[in-house]
Amino acid sequence: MITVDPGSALPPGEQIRAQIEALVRSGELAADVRLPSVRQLASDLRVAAGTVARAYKDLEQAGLVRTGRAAGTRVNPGQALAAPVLPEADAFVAAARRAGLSLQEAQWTLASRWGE
Amino acid sequence: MAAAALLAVLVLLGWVGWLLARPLPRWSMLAGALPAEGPPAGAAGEALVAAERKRHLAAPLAAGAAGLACWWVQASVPRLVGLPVLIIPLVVWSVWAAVLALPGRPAAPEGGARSADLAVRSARTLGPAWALPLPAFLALLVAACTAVAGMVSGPDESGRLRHLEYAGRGYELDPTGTVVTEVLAGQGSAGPFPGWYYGVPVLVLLVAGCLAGLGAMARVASRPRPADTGLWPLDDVLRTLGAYVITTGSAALLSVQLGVLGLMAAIPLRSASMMDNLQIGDAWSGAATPQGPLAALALAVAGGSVLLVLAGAVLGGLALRGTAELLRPRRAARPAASGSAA
Repeated sequence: MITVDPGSALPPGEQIRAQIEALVRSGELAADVRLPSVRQLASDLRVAAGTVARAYKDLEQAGLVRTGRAAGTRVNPGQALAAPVLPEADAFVAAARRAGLSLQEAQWTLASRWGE
Repeated sequence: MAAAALLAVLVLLGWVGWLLARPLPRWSMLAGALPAEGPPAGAAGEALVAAERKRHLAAPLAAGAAGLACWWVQASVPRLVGLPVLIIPLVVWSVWAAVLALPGRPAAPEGGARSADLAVRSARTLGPAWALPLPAFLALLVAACTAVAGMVSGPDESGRLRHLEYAGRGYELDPTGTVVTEVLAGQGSAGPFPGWYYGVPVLVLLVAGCLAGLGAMARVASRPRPADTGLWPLDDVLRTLGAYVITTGSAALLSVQLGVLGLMAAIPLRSASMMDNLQIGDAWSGAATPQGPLAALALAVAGGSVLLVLAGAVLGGLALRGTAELLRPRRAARPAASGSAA
């Protein structure tokens, strides 16, 4: 499941792209799994179809998904992160939740340590 | 041809039998999926159910009115020679599916976060595996049988292609009327037969019905998820029941239409088979009897058609049960369901 928060500083398209990327990287969206159509996702999230189409395009350019005319948009194989990272990510998410951080605050925390 | 027609009907009957053995989506699923009473989820859930109820009430009413209008047109314009009555199943199907396909009122914009699951929803993912193949198979059968009947049809006395033409034989008899003295080759025709006069409207309505049916399934699939994720289980049940009703109802009406067309064709086929293959000098019995491959075909078509109408009635019963599940009022006071609104 993905969520678009109108109150977020990130634009809706970026929120969609980031969450799908996270699901692909974590392996929750397995290789060759088909993503919903642009129209379905846009209608469920109450955003413009162009917003979802742009997010899918960005994911495609990043090599995470592929789009075929009949096959729709599918997850590319080999995009999940190596398994050793996931337990640490789970631990970080649990700690961030215990501390009452939002997803954005947790991301900022991670980003602040990224350059060290 | 008779064997192929019988085989197709037997395949269909096997399919219907298998369907009957499958459990029907029950209202208990719907009731169980409703959130605990009280706003906002309870009210939103009731609104979701009410919108579907309205649609599934309006569709059969509109379709019934269209069916009655066909009767009225036939009664008012007898020169149409049964065309409006013959196409009632397809008219009812087209109107019913078109009402179910009408777009819903757009949801009022609400603030707050919006969620979506990443499962693909389409006409093919809703309901069981037979959901689309069964009506598609029947629609193809209707189209194929109509085309074949049209190709062998001939004109009636007013030039409309609604008769079956066949090679006939006439006999000259001796003065006592008991021995054949001359065989006359000729052309006969019998009707009413589902030739192009009936076939063209049938094919046009078949296309309209297919488009409406696919539109109705697409609407069920593409309707946006409710904003409250607690309503998603209810949303899933409503979609499942909606798809079940549309596909079963479509199969029922197509099956009845095919059966009616078959029964209409069987009578002139039997007439065409009423020929004595007598030679000069043979005794004339005075009564022709059905014989030859046409007689077998007429019997097979009649038998298959009766079975198709019966299969349609069974499928129609299943569709009505599904509609009743949607329309049945919910038991008012359920004990507070733990976690159902989560």
